[in-house]
Amino acid sequence: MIRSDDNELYRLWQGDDSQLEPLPLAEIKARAAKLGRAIGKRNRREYAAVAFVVLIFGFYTLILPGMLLKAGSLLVIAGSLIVAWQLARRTSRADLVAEATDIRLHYRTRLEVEERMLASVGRWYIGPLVPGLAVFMTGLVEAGGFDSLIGFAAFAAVPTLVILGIWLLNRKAAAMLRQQIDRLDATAPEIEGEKK
Amino acid sequence: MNEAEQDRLFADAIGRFGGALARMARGYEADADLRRDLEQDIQIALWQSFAGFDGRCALSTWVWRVAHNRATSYIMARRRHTRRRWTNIEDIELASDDPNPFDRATSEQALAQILSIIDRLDPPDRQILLLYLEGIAGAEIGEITGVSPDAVATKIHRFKATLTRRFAQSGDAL
Repeated sequence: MIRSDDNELYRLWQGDDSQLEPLPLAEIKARAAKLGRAIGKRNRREYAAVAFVVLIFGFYTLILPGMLLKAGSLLVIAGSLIVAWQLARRTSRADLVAEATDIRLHYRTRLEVEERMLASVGRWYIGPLVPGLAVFMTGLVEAGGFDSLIGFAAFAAVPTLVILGIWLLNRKAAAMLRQQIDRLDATAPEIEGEKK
Repeated sequence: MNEAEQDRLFADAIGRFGGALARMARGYEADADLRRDLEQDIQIALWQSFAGFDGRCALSTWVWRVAHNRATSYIMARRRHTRRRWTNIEDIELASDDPNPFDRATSEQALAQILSIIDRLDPPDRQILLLYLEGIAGAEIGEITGVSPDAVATKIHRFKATLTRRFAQSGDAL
C-alpha cells in the first residue's frame, strides 16, 4: 500500500531512475552561442509572412496603375516592416539574469509581458497595416474595380473581418493571461504587500 | 567570473543535481523526446547563468531557480500549441473516472497519479510540489519560489490531502 506521508512520497519520487543525459561542455557552449543568434520558430513564421507581403506588394507597386494603388502598396510594405521590427523588439531572447530570480516573480513577469503584447496587438500589429490597406482599397475603388457599393462592401468585409478576428482573439488571450496574473496575486497577497 | 570558474560551477551543479533535474523535467514534459530537448535546454541555461552567479544565494537555490524558470518558459511556449489549461492546487478536482493507481497501489501507478496531478498545475504550484518531492525544506522552497513558507506549507498540505482522498476512495486509506 502506498502512503501519502513525506518519506513515502520522497521515496516514490526519488526512486524514479530518470537520469540526465549530460551534454558535453563544448556542445553546450556551441549551442549557447547559436541560441543567441536564433530566432524563435513563431517569429520565423511571422517574418516569412512579412517577406511574402513585401514581395507581393512590391510587385503591385511596379505593375499596378494609379497613385493610390502604388502609395497603398508602399504603405502596406512600410507597415509590414514596422510589424517585423516590433515583433523583434517585443520577443527578444530570455533575460539570463532574470532567469535566476525567484520563480514566482519570473513567471509573473513573463505573463505580464505576454499579456501586454497581446492586449496591445491593435497598436503594434494591426495598426501599422491599416493605413496601407485603406489607401490600397480606395485605389481599387478609384480604378473602377467594383460595379456597385455592395460589391466593394463584400470585398472590404473579408480583410475587415480577418483583422477584427485577430484583434478579438488576441484580446481574449490577453484577458485569460490577466486572470492568471490576478489568480497568482490572490494566492500570495502577503508577498505583494511586502513589495509595495 | 572567468569561463573556467563558470565551467567548474556547471560541472558541480550537474554532478549534484543531475538526477533531480531529470525528475524535475518529467514534471514539465511527459513526452520522452521532447523531455530530452528540455533537459538539454536547461543545461544550456544553467551554464549561461553561471556567468552571473555571485554567490549571494546557495548554489542549489540558483540551480533550481534557473531550471524551473527555463522549464516554465518552455511549457508557456508549448501551451500556445496545446491550448492546455492549468489550475492551482486548491482547484484540483479528481474526477471519479480518473485512473486511480492506488487501487493496486504499485509504485509505478502511484507515480503516474502524482504526475497527473502535477501536470494540471499552474507553474508556481507545480514548482512548489516538485521541490517538495525532492525533499527540500519549506523555507528553502520559499526562497527559491518567492512564496512565503506558510503558503508553501499550505500548498503541500493540499497536495497530500488530494492524494489521501484518492487512497480513501480506493479503500486504501491510512
